[in-house]
Order: sequence, then C-alpha cells, then structure tokens
Amino acid sequence: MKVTVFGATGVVGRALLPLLTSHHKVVAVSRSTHAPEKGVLWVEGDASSADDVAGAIEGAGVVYYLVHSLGRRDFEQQDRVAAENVAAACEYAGVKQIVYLGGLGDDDASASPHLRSRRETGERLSAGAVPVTTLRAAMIVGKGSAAFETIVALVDRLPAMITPNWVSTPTQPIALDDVSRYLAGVCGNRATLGESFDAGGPEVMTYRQMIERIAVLRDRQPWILEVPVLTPRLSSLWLHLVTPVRASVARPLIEGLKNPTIAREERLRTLLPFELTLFDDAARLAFAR
Amino acid sequence: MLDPLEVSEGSPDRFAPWRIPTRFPAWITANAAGIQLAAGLLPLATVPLVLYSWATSERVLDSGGLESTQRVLASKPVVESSESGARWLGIAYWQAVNRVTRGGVRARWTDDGGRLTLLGGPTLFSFGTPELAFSDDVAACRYAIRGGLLTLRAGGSVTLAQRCVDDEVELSVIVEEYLPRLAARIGAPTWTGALYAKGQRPLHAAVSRRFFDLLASRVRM
Repeated sequence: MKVTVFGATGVVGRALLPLLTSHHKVVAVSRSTHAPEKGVLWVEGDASSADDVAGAIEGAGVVYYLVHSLGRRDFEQQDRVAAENVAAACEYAGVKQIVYLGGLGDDDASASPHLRSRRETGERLSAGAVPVTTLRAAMIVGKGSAAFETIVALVDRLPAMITPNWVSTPTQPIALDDVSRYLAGVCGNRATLGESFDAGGPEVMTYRQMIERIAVLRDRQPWILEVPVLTPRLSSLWLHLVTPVRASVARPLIEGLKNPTIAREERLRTLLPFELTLFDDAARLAFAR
Repeated sequence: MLDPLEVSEGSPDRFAPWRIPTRFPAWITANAAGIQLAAGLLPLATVPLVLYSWATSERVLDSGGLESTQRVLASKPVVESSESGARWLGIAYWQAVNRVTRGGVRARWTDDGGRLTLLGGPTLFSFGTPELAFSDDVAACRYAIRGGLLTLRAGGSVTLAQRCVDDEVELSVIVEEYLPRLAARIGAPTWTGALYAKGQRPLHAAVSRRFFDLLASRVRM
C-alpha cells in the first residue's frame, strides 16, 4: 500500500519512516528538498498548498498528518488551513485513512492555544469523509523533541531554577520509539478507523519529577524553587535565553503545561500490546543518539 | 466530637436554573432525559451522555468523623474501567476544584501525594498518593487526607468512583471520616460552624457537581 507522510522531517516523522518502509511504499513530504533515501520517495511540498498535497497523496491508501506550525506567530491559522487542505484532498483522492498525532489534554475547556490548535486540527481533518485515526500523546521523549530538549537544556545549564507552578502538573510522557510503533501499528488497521486513542507512556509524573530524574541521569543536582507568579511570557523569554528553544516555540509549550496531560483510557495498549519504554530508558536512549 | 450535621438530600431541581453551568449541556437536558430514562421511555443506547438523579447527603459518623456523599447517575460510563480511567477520576476532581474556585485553589502533585493550596500559598488539604482500583464494573480513585488547614487532624479520605450496576452508572464523590476544622463542636453555639455550613459544605457540593459535569463533557468512549 502507498502511504504518504506529511511532516516527515519532524522528530516523529523521521522515527516513523523506517517502521513503514518494510511493509509499504512510502512517500515522505518535506517543505525543502531532501536527499534520496532507501525505501522512501521524498517529494517537496507544503501541506497548505492544494497542488502539492494532491500530487503527494495520489494513489495513497493511508496519509499520516504529523504537521504543526509551532514557532510561527499565526500557528493556529496555519495549522487550520493545512488540515482543511489535506482533509479535502484526501477525500477527493479516495484515501482510506488519515492518521493524526494530537495532544493529550487537548479537549480541556481551558486548553492552551497550542493544545486547542491540536484539537482543531484533528476536527478539521475529521470534517471530511475520510476516517481519521487520532493518537493523543503528551511529551515525546526523544532526541529533537522540543519539550524534552528544553527540559534537558534547563537541567544542563542551570544550577538553580525558579519555576512556575506548572512544574507540579502531572503528565505521562511517551518514548519516541513507542509512539512511532503505535503510529505504524494503526496503519490500515480497520479497528482504528474513526477512533481516537490516548497514547500514554508507562509512568505518570510531574514536570518537577521529570526534571529531577533527568538531573540524576545527567549527574546534576539543580535546586528548584516553585513560585506562583511567573507568567508564560516571562518563562518563555527565560527559556529563550538559556535553552536552544526559541521563545515563539517555548511559549505555546509552556502555556500547555498547566493542563494535566494524562491518558484516560488504555484501548491502544490492548489493541497493540508491547512493553512500553520506561522514562529513564527512553531518556538514556535520547542522550545516546 | 462534632455536632451532628443536618442530613440534606437533593435532586436536580434543588439547583436553580441560573446555577446550571451552561457550558456543559449534559445538565441542561438532565431533568427531562433523566425522567424519560427512569420511566423507560428512552432507550439507553439512543441517549448521548446524560446525568440525572443528583443527590447529596452528609452525616456525622459514630467515630465523630464526617461522611459526605454526592452521587449522580449517568446514562453510560464516563471513564474506562482501567488504571488510566481510575487515575483520570482523580485528575478531573482536582481540575473541578480549580474551576469552581476560579484558580484560587490549585492542586499541586508531589512525590508523596498532593496538596490543595490557596493562591499558591497555604495548604488547605494534603493528600496521600492516589489509590487506584478498577474491575469490570468499578473504577475508583481514593486519596487519604493527611492534613491541611481545613482539617482538624489527619484522617479520612476522598473517594471518586464510577460503578456500573445493571443498566445504571453511578458516579460518586464520597468523603469519609473527615474532621473539618470549620465545623461547630459539640456544645458550641451553632454560629461557630457557620463557615463550614455556609461556605465549605456548599463549595464541596459545587465541586462535586462540576466534577461530574467535567467527566461528562469529556467522554470519548
């Protein structure tokens, strides 16, 4: 089966491609030219361009939508347009399934703009006739994951941290390899058509606990003080200053951290059973890559 | 020992319409659909999620602790009977506290449990780690009360549960063996418990109600 992956150059896209190439003919869509790769046909295109999308999905049975515009000022609008465009093109091309990776906690009424945008993107994709399989994940633990890299950079660079309240919000991070396996596992799977699944990792922890566990792995002992007055804007500017993450990316991420991102059901574990990677192991793997 | 508290029972009608949180349509249709469900006029499968038969009660146990119960029936399960489903009950409850108090009271999770803090400062309640239980018909999350400004001494628990019995799904918030600091003591004038009776008790019921609404509004099953 032909499978098209939008957002193929992203962290998740790159990890997913090798899992798909063994069973499918894979077309990877990238906004910039990409060096040829065994088993993958790279095409240049933008998800918000109707012509680009139509060319990339021609003859495809399954389309992966892993696109997000985080970092752009108008990321909500960009994501909306791209999702509508892909949904319409998939319907026209007779695609059998769209697979979308959304965010846990995105259906909270008080969700941040980032999480709200993730939800809206899912809704736009589902508005068409093509059944959408949605996987919802919290922080992805892997090399290149913006949220994970931010925390690692904080641990590496700061001996003391003054943190906002969000550090005591619970989350359920998942290893990059595990979320990729889940994504590959739902490809063409009839039981997943039109369904939404929570893809939680094996452990629930607060961001503070996550910082402390990464600190142990990095052989550091940061001093952490929680204060109730740090705004997301101040926090993102601070992250911009001390980590490689830009403020435009950090701010929507930070705003999303106030919402608990916890799996509410385990149907995906039943449907695709395998042993999930523990947080420490996933982090070690990310450091080694 | 605490003064025996008045036992109060309620129904959806107890709540004036202006109190209905309109952002959650489940409650708006609760009365009509609930009556039809109870009368067997409405097949269960045809109904989107509906909450009905709200009830709240409170009594003092022989031990002197307080038992407070809020229950509601749902037309279908709101959480999965699994570890994740049980954990979600706990998370949703703290979110409900946050919403009802408009962010004034926030939950903070720690290594050894959690705390409810007022404006990020004083701890109103501290809790142990969640004790999760689940089977085919039950999902429950229990927090032991460890202390805090609103407790006279450590002890008691809050249990958030979903129980499926026959065709009915019962959602409940049960506080057991809790010793409220603000309630009137035996022999003391009634007005000394006014802060509890007029403040904490209705606030707790409002939180429970918002908790049920929140669960209902985010059903994806």
